[in-house]
Formats: sequence, C-alpha cells, structure tokens
Amino acid sequence: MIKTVNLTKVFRTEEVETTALNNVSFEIKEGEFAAIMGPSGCGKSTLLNILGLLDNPSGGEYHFLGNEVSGYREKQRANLRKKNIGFVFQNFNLIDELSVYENIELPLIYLGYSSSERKKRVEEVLDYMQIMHRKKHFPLQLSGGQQQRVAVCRAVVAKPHIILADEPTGNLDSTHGDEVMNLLEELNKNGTTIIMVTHSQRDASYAQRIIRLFDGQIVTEDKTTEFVMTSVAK
Amino acid sequence: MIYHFLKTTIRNLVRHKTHSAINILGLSIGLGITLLIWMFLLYEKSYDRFFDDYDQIYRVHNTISVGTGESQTLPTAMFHTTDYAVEELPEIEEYVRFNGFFRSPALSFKDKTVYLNDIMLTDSTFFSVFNMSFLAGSPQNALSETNSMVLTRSSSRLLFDSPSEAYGQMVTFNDSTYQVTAVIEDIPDNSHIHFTGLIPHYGQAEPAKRSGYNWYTYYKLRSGTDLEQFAKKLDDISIHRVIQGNPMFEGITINQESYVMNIADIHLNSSYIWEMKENGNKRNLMIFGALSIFVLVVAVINFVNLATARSSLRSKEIGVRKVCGATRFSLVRQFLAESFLVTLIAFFLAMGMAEIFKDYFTNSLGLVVESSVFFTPGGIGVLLAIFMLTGFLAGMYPAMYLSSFEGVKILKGEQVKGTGGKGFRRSLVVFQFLITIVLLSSLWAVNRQVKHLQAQDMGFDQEQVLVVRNVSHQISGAFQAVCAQLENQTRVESTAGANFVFAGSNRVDLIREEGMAMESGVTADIINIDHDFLDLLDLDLLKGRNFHEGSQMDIQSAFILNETAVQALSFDSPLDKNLDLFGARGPLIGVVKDFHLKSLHHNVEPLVFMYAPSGFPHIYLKVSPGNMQQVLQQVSGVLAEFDAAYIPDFVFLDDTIQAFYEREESASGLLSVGTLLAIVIAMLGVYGLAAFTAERRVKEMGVRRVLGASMHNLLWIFNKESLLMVIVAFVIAVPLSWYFLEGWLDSFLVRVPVNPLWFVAPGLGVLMMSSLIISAQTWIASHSNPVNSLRSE
Repeated sequence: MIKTVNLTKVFRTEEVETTALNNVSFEIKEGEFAAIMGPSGCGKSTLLNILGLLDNPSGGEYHFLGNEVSGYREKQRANLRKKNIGFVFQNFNLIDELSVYENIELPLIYLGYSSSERKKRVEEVLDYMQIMHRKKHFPLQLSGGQQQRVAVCRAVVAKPHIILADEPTGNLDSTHGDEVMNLLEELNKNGTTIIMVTHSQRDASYAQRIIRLFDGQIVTEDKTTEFVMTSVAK
Repeated sequence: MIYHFLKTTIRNLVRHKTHSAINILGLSIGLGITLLIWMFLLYEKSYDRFFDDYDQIYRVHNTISVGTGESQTLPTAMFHTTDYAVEELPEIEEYVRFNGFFRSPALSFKDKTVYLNDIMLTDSTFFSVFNMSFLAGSPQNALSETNSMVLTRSSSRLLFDSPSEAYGQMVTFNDSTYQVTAVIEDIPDNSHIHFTGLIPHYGQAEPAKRSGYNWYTYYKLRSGTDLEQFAKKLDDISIHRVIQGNPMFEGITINQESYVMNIADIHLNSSYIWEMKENGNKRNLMIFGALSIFVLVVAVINFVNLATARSSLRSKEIGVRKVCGATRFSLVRQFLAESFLVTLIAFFLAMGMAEIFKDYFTNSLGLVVESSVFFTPGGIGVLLAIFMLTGFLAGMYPAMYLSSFEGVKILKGEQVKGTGGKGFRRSLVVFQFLITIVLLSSLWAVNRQVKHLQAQDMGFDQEQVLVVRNVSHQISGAFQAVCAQLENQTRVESTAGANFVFAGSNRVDLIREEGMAMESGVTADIINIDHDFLDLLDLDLLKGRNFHEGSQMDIQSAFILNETAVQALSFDSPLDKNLDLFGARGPLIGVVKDFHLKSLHHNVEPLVFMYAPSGFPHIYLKVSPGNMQQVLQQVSGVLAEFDAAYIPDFVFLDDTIQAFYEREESASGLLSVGTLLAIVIAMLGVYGLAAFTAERRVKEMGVRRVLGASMHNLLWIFNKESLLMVIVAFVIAVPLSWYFLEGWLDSFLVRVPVNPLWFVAPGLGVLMMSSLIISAQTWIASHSNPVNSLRSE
C-alpha cells in the first residue's frame, strides 16, 4: 500500500541545510497498524507529512497505492489525499466555528458528496463513535477526549484507506488516551491501515510494527511484541 | 458548499464582533459616500437622455469673430441658415429653432395677470425633435397656428386650475391674443433646455428673425452623418447664403466656424454665454469621482489590512480545511465569498445611509442626488460594478494571502506566514495615510481659495444693494415715479435702473470709433443704465463725466466705457473720440475703472454703458443696514401700488456674488464630507490594527514591563512603526498634492499661493490621531497585570 525507497527530505535556509530524512526505505501493507517512534527532531513528523501527501520529499521514491507520487503537485496530492487519507492530530484541530456535525462533514464537502449522503455518513460515524448526542455542540463545549473522538470521526468519515495519527493521545490524560487508542485499534481490526507517530511506549504497543527513527534514518523495524520484549529485557 | 461558506462567515462575524463592526462600518461609510457621489454623477450624466433618439439630436454652435477681433463661441446660430440647410442637406431628418425674445412679459387671462420669463419663439416642428408629454392638446396641432401657445404645467397652473381648463382658452401675451393649444408636462430638471411656454415664430415680425446668432438650433441627423463634414456645409451656407449680400453684415468680415454637439453632451461640455441655464462642470465631476474612489479605497484597505493582520486567527481553520481536501482554489473561493457577504451587508447599510443623507447633499451642498438614477440599466450597472469591485478588491488579497498558508506547518503549531503579508499591509497603511493627507491638504486649499475669491474686491460696492429683477411693464413704464416713491421709504437710500443683472447675459455688439473700419471695432457687452447707477454701485469714474439726468443728448448717443474697452480700442485720449454702435453714434463721455460683471473665473471684458432714463427691467436699491424683512415689505408695498399682480423677484447683490462660487463651495462641501469620512474610516482601521496588535503583543508587553520597561518605552515601541509610515506617506503626499493643487489654482484668474502649512498641518494631524489611538490601546493593554498577561500565554 505504501512503499518508500531511499526517501530523503532536506530543509534549506540561507545558512543551514538540515537533512530531516536520509534514505528512508520501508513498506506498509494494507490493514497494518504501524507506529513510528524516535526522539524529538528525528524526522517522525516530516515522514508522516510526506506519507500523508502534505509535503513532497526532496529525493527518493514514494509509492502510494501503486502510484509513484513523490513528484506530484499540490493539486494532485490534495486530490489523492482527500479520497484516501484521514488525519488525527495531537491538538485535535477542530474548527471552532463549526459544530461537531459540521466538523465531521468537512471532508465529505470537499469530496463533493450530496447533502443527503453527507448526512447519512456523518450520522453513521457519530452513532458508531457514540457521540450522536453531541452533534450540535461546538468544539469548545467538549472535553479533550471528546474533541479527539470527533477528530477521529472526521478522519474516518470518508472511509479512507489509511489513517495517519500524529501523537493522537499527546494532549489527553491516560483514560481518554486509552479510549482513543482503543478506537484506532478497532478501526484497524475493521480493515483500516493506521500509521501513528508517537512518543508513548504504551500507545506504540497497540501497533503491530514499530519503525524507529534516529537522525532521519530507520534504525530498527520490529514487531511490537518483539520490541516491547527487547526493551523490557534491556 | 456556498451554504457552508456562508455559515462559517456569519459565525466568524458574530464571534469577532468588534472586528466585524469595524470592517462593516468602515466599508458601509465608504460605500455610502460612493453611492451618494455616484447618484450625483449619474444624474449629471443623465441630462437630456430621456428624449427619444437623443443620440441623433445635435445643437449647432458657432465660433465667430469679426475681422481680426477675438473669437467667441455661441450656443446659437443664425435663423436663416436652417432655412437653406433643411432644403440642401439630406443629413437633416428634423429641425427646430427657438429663441427667447421676451423678458418678463405679462400673460393675462380675463382679469388675472402673471409675468413669465422664458417664453420661446419656435418652429412648428418643435415636437418632432423633442418628444414631450402632453397633458392637453396634441403635438400635431400644438404650434400649427400663428396665435398658438403651448404652456408648461407650471405656467398653466398660474392662471388655470387644470390643463384641461387651460386648453382652448384665449390669453393675452405681449399685447397679442393667443389660444392655448396645448399644455405639456414641465421639462425635467435634468435637461439643458428651459422654457415656460412656446409660441410659433412665424407670427412675429421679420426683423426678430434676422438679429444675428440668436437662435438655439437643433437638428435630428440621420445615423452615420459625418459631423465634421456636416458642420463645414453649415459654414458654407451661413457664409455664402446668409451673410454675403445681407445688408446687415455689409462691410464686416465675419469668420464663422460651426460645430454640432449632441444634446446629451451639452450639460457637461458647453458653458458659453447665452446658455438656457447654467450647465455642469466636468472637472468638478472628475474631482468628485476621484473622491469617491479615494474614500472607497481607504475603506477597502481597512478590510484587507484587518483580514490579513488577523490571519493567524484563521490559520488553524485553513490548515484543517487543507488537510481535509481543500485546494487553494476552494479556499480562495471561500474567502472571496466571505468578502462578498460582508460587502453585501455593508452595501445595504450604505444604501440606507445614502437615502438618509441625500437630502443633506441636495440642500446643503447644492448637489442634486436622486436614488432613481440607479433604477436604470446604466445605474444598475454602476451599482453592480461598485459592489463587485469592492467585494473583489477587499477579498482577493486576503484570499490569496490566507490560502497560501502551509497546512502542515499550521497544524504543527508553527508560526504561519503568508507571502509578503506585513510589508504589503504596511504599504496599504501608508497609502491610506497618503490619501488622508492629500484630501486634507486639498480641503484646506479649496476653502482658502473660495474665501479668497469671495473676499476679492469686485470693483463695486456690493453691500446693502437690493435688486428687484424682472419688474412688470407697468412698473418699468413708470420707472421714475416708482423710484421716487421708493426713495421716500425710510430704509431706501437711493435707486437706479439697468437692463442687466450680474452674472446674467447681455447684448453683445461691435463698437468702433466713428468713421473707422468694422475690423477696428471690438465686441463688448452693451448695458443700458440710468444716471444714478454708477453712484449707487460706487463705480469709479476715472475720466470724463456721468450721464446727465434726463439729457436728450445722452440718451442712446453717449458712451461710457470701461478701461478694458478703451485699451481694446487703443485710445490714448478716449474723451476725444466719437463712437459708432451699429448706427448709434455719439461721444465717449467717460471711462470707468474695470469691475467684474461675472465671477473671477472670467476676465473683465470690454463694456459699454449707454443711457436710458426709464423702461428698465431691473431696479437697484441701496438700502440702510438693519432688518431686511422690513426693507422687503416697504419695497413690495411700493411696487404693489403700481402693479398689484406683480410678484417681486428680490435678490441681494452680495448673495449673487457669493453664488458665483457655488461650484467651488459645493466642491469644498463635498470634499469636507469625503475627507471627514476618509479620516474616520482610516482611523477605524488604525484602531482595529492597534487593538489587534495590542491584544497579540500583550505577552511582549508583560515581559518588557517585568524587565523594567517604562510606559514611555512601550509607547515608543508601539508608535514608532506608525510614525515611520506617516512620514513616508507625508513625503509622497506633499509633491503629489502640491502638483495637483497648483494645477487647480492656476485655473483661476485670482488665486492664493500654495502654502506649506496646508501639508504640514494635515501630516501632523494624521500623526497625532494615529498616535493617540495606538497609545490608548497600548496604555490599556499594558495596564493589565503583567503576571496575568504572562500566565494567559
């Protein structure tokens, strides 16, 4: 589903050149739940942005659903992104002026769904996530956990092939964090591919595979259980 | 999608009330003044377009000169030119001529008499050229008989209760009997044509038709007529068929150049002597148009600045939308839709404002503004253009700027920057300040110039002079008795008679030294006065003597000239000369110092005074200071003794002189309103930006205060940017407005010099106002507890 070959990202300013990703190659198959871990500044978010078609790499190849997309323009990327990728962010990123219903509806608007189809899809998701009673509320009226639940709703409403989650529990307490992780796990069990960037060992344990980055390079690629076991043994 | 955009926009407007109020208020004030100015501009442009086939109707103008004398353009032509032209020029579809020979004649029905100015002699073809609405009678028969008379609704109402009552009645006019054959609707105000009634010229004596270039002449020309060629053909006819061989022009070389002007262009392009009424001024229109654009630009800049300054508040939304699949185009569309919605709200408010203030414009500024001008295809086009342009200009830059944010960075919490935001915003603020300084300088200059013009010595005493205009035949016939009676009144000091009023039209003729060739003559205004006139107006007699009271020798055969006429005739010792004015011959008995018959827009022209003992249409009275109502009562009482039906037409001479500068006063008035509003809008913008900046930099202020910054330090930090912007605006504004003001002032014969204070004071004013607003915001923000502001971050 996703394959990178020698993916490189270099940020240049007038004086400094920073290599955020250095020849990163890996593959993620459909239905996988992968976690990307590493210390701050190791290139996790840069990698997630490229995987999410929010940014282009400086070099290497990126195959998404069988297409080599590393040279795509913004418009092509937006088109591919809105049909296939859902995002969940650490700070939820809900639009304060829109209600819960309207926030979830947003991707469907840009996909050109009819009003009745949007209603059907949004209500299905609200029902599934058990927040139907909150649909008329605005983000500022919700707790952090509820807001992230809405963000997950928005990520899945267009039935994307893949969900990219960037520190999804970073702003939540452990109870709400677990709730969100359980949701992602359930979605993955139902067939959605999930790639998650996290600092949390606990959250990473939900994934089937962990990709560890350090200074822009992959240092290990483990099955979660092996990784957890190794860490514990050390 | 649109519904979604609108919903978000409205919620944004409601959520940020102060910002929304500033935006909408600023835009609606800008749009309001723009709509009012455009009502006036469209009204001025609407002149004579209500006539059917107006685009085919042309008036003949003639630029004439006698011998090597100065040329003069007249909006009139010779009567007989048309007789030949109609026969020989196939371009003419229809024609009509008219001429107002009658000044204030009596129109009587049974025992009721009224005095009407501007009853015109015309051809029976009048209504074939100018379609009019008939209240009684029909266009076919209206002017078919020699004793036919057509009255306008207003004229008819003076004698009859209704148009149907007037129809068919016999009335007495100018000592002849006429039958009212039609009553027509009054001519709309937005026409250059003005008359109160029409009678056919073919019942009149032939000499009336021969008196030179006296006929307003209109042709309805076939489509595709080459106007230049047509005018040349008219010249040929006039010179070879009418002038040559005509005893009236014997010995005179007349140079004539005709041209035709479409009637829709006359109001704004023709301002010659003998116009039926004072026409518009194209330059003022351009100034007003520029003013409307300036004020609107200031308002649009506010919108753009506030929208881009507050972009960080919208950045998360933009990021989320981008991640959810929004393209840059769809975001641009959204922000443009927002701008159009705000513009629409402002537009409706502006229309309300314009409706409320249009009477002020008409009554106080003397500018006719009618909202009905917008209910025409052209008016709707202008409204749409103003709306679309405002919405687009206000929305486009913020839309491009906001949509350029990188979604990823926003959502990662990085500080977002669009391309060129701050620099562009600063340039816009500089431009706002620049417009404000230019408007303030112009306002000051226009006011000074108007005051300067009004304070000029016109060469005569205009104080305490009352003019009774257009007196009836009974009164002018008994002129001396009337004057004697008037002088018996306690408040009347002296009286005089003349056949002219200031700013009016006079007879213009060729005067020359007796026995000399026609070519040596000069064209001059010819005015009849009595022996008291020079004293009453305190005109300075430089040489010779005044007319002697009742002297038969002086009646129409002695001349007093002004200095300009003497110079034009190249007389070294003028009192030795005898003059010839088309058969009237006699000595030059006096020379008066030049004085202004017209406004200071015009040079002093050669002038000839001739003596008449009575029969004047206008009476001048020098009255004592005090309650003017009492004066008017006394004078009305005396006039009523001689003619009870006469309704006095009073005017104070100083009011007439003040009215010379109505255009400038209107311009000054509108400039005051426009400048005031531009300042209000610009300062609203400064307030909006300052409030926002203070709100965003509250942490910085907290840190600075904790580290020991004084209030002065903070004020300087927050004011220095605006200080720099005002200085840049000032540096650009001064040469720009200096250049334009020099050009404008140069169009006057008498002008004030450009004063540097006109620029320095507005520059300082703008600086002070913006500093006050910014300082107030800074002071309020910095007086919150610094600990709180740091915590709130």
